[in-house]
Amino acid sequence: MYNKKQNNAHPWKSKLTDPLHFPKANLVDKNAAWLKLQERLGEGHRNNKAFWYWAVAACLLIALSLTMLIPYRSINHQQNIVSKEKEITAPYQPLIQPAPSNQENKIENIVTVQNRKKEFEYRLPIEFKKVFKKNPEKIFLPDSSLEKVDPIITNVPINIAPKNGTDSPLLSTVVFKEKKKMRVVHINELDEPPQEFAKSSNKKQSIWGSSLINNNQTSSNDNNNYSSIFKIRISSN
Amino acid sequence: MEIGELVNTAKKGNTAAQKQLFDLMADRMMLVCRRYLKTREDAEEILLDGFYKFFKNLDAFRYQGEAALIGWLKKIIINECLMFLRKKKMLIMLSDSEAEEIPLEEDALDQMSASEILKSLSQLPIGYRTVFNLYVIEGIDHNEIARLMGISEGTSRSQLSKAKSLLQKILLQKGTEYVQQKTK
Repeated sequence: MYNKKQNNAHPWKSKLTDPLHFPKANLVDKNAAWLKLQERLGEGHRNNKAFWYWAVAACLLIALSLTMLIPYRSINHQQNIVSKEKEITAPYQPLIQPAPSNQENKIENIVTVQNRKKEFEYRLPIEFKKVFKKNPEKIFLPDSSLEKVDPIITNVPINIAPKNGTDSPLLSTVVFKEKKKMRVVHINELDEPPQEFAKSSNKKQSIWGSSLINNNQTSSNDNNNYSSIFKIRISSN
Repeated sequence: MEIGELVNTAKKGNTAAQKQLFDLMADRMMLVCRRYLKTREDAEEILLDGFYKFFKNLDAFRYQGEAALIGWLKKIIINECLMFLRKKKMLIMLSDSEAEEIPLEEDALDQMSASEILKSLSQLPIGYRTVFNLYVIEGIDHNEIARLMGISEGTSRSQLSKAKSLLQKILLQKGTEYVQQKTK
């Protein structure tokens, strides 16, 4: 570290390090220099303080914005609206939601199955019940959980969680449309359509066993993206 | 108040103690800066930088006597000077060729005043002067000088011998001027 050849016997080295050997002009103006130094030391301290103030303010702002956002999101989630967000992430996802309320719906709990595909051929998955229990007003059926089958299972009972004000859960049945299957049959093989379908003059008649098709919705949506609205009747126990 | 007490009080952020420490050390450290840097303005700037670092890191310092305190502060100041020279790209080594060891006429230096010695040293090129200061005045060996300055040991040695020979010439010139003045 230190060299061994250093010779401190000569006084010129001590002269160089001793301030007494120098005139004042060579030295520092202590008061002026101290003021500058103090300013810098204080500035550093102030900068530190300012940093912490800003950090605390930023944290508060984040916390506030989170508390504002979370209730808004939960309220929004409860509302039975087909959100745009869902359409973007899964444009072909079928949705089940309550149909527009009218006197008939109030009693029978009609839910609407909406699908962009013209034919609605899904078997009801096991998960469906769980989903339905959790959120009876808004149900998303992911494509992966649905399988095309032949024949379609119909009249599947579903437990609906009790709504506010009701004590017991409702046992409902979702009726799905049967798969359209083109088959050449003899005229004698054709059955009479059920009364329920025959009576509804303003509704389209599809193949036997199919669900009711809302005419107003299909006529407007037929031309764009093959989307159609299906109404599924759910009867409560 | 003793220096040890001053250091402990200054550690707590006491401005009065800090000022007292500054007053005690400033002149001595200013001389260190003047040896390494050419202008007074640069020396003052580096002095303040050094003291700023000193007070900022005082918490980490364990007081073991006045000499240790001065040594630590001096080390900070020298490092600041070297950093300044490197930043300003002033630390240029003139030639890397090996030169023979020349003994310095230290008796001649003894006869000169401190200001004259400083003036003579300031006439040396920065590379020579820095190595000369570090080796002859601070007493640091070539290995450490090489590490501090980012040069090889050989370069440090050659810079030192050249510094000595140039200083010898300066002293000789000063001597002849002195003799001439006396004879007039």
